[in-house]
Amino acid sequence: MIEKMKFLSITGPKADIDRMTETYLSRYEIHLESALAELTEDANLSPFLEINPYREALTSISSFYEQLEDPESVTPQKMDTETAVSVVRRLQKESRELSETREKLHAQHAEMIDSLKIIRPFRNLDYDVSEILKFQYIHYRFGRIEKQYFKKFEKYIYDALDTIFLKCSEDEQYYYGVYFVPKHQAHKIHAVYSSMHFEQIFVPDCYQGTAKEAFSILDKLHKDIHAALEQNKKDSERFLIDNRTAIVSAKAALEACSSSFDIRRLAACTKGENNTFYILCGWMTEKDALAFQADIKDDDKIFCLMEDEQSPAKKTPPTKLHNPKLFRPFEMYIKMYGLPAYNEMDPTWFVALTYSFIFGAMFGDVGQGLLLFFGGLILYKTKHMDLAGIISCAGIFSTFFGFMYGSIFGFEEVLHAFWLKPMTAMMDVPLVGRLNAVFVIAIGFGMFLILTCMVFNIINSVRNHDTEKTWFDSNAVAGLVFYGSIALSAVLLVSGKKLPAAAVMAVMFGVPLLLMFLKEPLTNLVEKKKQIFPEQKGMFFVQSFFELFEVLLSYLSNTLSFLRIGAFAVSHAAMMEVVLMLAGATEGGSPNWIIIVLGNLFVCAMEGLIVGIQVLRLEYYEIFSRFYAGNGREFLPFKKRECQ
Amino acid sequence: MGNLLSYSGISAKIRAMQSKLTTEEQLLEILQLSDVPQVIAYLKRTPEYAEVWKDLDENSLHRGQIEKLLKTSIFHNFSRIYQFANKEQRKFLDLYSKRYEIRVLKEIMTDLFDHRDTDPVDITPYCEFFRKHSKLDLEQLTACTNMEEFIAALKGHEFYQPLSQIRNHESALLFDYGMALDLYYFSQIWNVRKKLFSGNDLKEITTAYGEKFDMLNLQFIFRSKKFFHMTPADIYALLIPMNYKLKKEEINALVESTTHEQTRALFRRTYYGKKYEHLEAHNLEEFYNVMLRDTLEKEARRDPYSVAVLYSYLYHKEHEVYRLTIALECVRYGVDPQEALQYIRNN
Repeated sequence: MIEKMKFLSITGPKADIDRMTETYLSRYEIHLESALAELTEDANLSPFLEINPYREALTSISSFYEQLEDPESVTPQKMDTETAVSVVRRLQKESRELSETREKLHAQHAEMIDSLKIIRPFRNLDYDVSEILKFQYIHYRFGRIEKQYFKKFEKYIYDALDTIFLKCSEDEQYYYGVYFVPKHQAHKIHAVYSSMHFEQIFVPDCYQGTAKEAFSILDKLHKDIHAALEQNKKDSERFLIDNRTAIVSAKAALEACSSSFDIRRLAACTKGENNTFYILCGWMTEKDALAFQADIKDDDKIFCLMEDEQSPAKKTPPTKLHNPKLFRPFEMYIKMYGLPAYNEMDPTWFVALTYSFIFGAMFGDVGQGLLLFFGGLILYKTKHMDLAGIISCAGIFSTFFGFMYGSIFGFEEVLHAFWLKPMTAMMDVPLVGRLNAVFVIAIGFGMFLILTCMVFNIINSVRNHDTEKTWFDSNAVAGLVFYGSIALSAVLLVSGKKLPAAAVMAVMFGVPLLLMFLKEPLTNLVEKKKQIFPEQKGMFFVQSFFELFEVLLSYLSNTLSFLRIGAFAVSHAAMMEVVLMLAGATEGGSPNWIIIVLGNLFVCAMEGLIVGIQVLRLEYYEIFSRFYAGNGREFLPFKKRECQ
Repeated sequence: MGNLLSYSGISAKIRAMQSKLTTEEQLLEILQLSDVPQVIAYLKRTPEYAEVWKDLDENSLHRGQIEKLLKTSIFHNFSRIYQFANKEQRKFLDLYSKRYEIRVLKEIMTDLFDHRDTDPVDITPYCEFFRKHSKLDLEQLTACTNMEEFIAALKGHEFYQPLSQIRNHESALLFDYGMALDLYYFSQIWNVRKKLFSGNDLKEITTAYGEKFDMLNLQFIFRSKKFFHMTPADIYALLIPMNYKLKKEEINALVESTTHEQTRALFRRTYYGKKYEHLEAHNLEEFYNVMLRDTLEKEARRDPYSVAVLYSYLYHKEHEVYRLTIALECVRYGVDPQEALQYIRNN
């Protein structure tokens, strides 16, 4: 069922919009349209512009929210707007304190890290650095020298030179150290060192005590800063964890406020300095609309106009499906294909019935059907999965057909078949020969479904005032008569009765075909258009001929498509027979129960999947394509009803 | 005995290949020719180039192209030996082939330093060879426009480290980069030789490379003293840190010596001065090649079933190409055959 919709225009003083939203729109679901776009003929409207006061608080709380780990696990608590805003202020203040501490530590770190880096390679120097720096008669240089050059230096030069090189430390590439030379030779010896690629490192006079002490002081300071940073990081994490409920709740509250506030984007304002009014337009279900009107009768600040006979709404209303609880899971398949348009027929009930029925027929097994039913039901109730609801429904029919076929967990002998055994029941068909009865029945059922769909199409087309689709199309009356004639002839043939006389047959088949062939000119004729035939007649006849050919082919292929119902009914029985054979149940004696259980589970899962997909394919391809367009738009309430 | 077995095949193959190399008599004949196409036609008749060059049109070839083809023939022959070699012998060939890598790296660096805007280095002679024997990505390297990019492109390769070290020095020149590569390569040879080789092979490698390094060091010392007047400390910084027959004290004395006579007297007393009597400090440059060839030939003759055969052949092949290149130049510029032969003999 598609809910009846009413178009409402709500208006009131500009300042009253929040109260109205708060009091009424939370109780009545309304699908809002942009008022400016709807009320185009009235030029005296302007957009409702106002800055959202919650935006800033919402942005800041959202940034906290994003830092939370797994925020979905926290259930938000109810919080009013003032509290939420004050929570945001408090959180901002605390987090600012934390980040200020962090920045201070970073600054300290940057300040000391350079002097630490300089002294690190010389930490083994057991002498007061600042005293070295004050030497007057001995020149010194701190620095490093590449290992390969140092080796040459040591080998060929060092002994002959008046210098002392103190090796302090080394890494892969370099020796670090300091060398001393007497003042009067400094010039010459500096040159030798620089020839050996000695790189000077400038040591500032900022260290206390020996290099070793200076290093250990700085190193400790460095470690302290890192510890403090680590602590700061932990505090920040702690802060987030401690406040997670507050953050989630405040975010929810602010989001609600902010989105209520955003109703202004869809609203329009009347012009003028004072006494401005807001206007909101949208769709409500008829029931809601009436209740809403009754509700605001005493509210003198709200006026509501509802569409009526004199001024019907111009736009197609959105679609809101309303189906009995049992069918509701099947709405999923409809939404996957596309929602029905407002004036289209809602095929949910039809899908629910045919889907479950066909599924059951293809997968008839009492035991596995019950498994599907209970499994699906549990999942549907606990996890609210629509698919599980569908499986559960299908399971009922599966069980039903299990009784009909006399099959339980693959054991064919335990139950008596109320109807037939798909594997063994045979039937004579004229012109074809001996066939499994289920195949013939499946085809028959398929023909029935196709005819039903044609009827649906005719109903839909009448409602839409579409002449071509009502009378001349392959799914219209012409098609119905033609296909119906085929179905009738087939029934007569199979049941062994005589066929009608050739002349009658010619009329039954020939006239509808002719109608379909000439559907375009005929439509033009009925709709009293000027030009009946298209300009290029030859082209038209060739095209129509091939189209007709295609129509006939598709009748055949669509009918045969239903064979799969029978085929799967047989294949289920056959697969279970294999399981039983593997378990050794066919030779008498006690079967292997582990294999029976695993085999049943395997077949149940695999067939359930395949059959589920095959039936969906039948629904979409053979059934929907005949009568269903699915180009509706969804009813999206501005606010979900709170009582839900 | 083991060597005899493992080297018998490759040694025979190398002897066959060596017999095809251009001889001095042939070079003399080449020098009599009047222009470059004739030389090419002549070479096309020699066993070394007949097969590979048979489709070439000698009249359309430029001298530069011929030089590239000659270069290609070095790599071609190397690959042939490599294919024939067993695992042990390939160890040496792999080590040796780094020489080619360094050569092409130096060519690219020269281009980067000297004439950035002229044509890029032509890598066609190297392409085929590098695909098989090297991890260097030549296309990427030649696409670099400055040293920074070039060094960055080498990241992950063994040559990255020595080059990036040089980059840290202030005012590093092409010479420093090339030197760094050479020093890296030489020390690698010297350091891994004991791990890779044993017995006779180790001995041959040690002699061949040891003498080579000593000679190079001597050359460095003489050159830097004679032409560049460098300070002792600068000279020491350039030396290859390996000593074979030259003692540390001898090097010290040579570097520190002040006069030419003193240097010559010191040199006389060294191992090389005693071994080669007509070797003098001033003809060291020319003698370096003669001596290296001499050592290699002697070794290869004495130990025909050792790695010396490989080394010796590869040396001769490169030497042949070098001499042919000189011969071509002399023919092109109409140098008198006698004078040209002098140039060739000196190398």
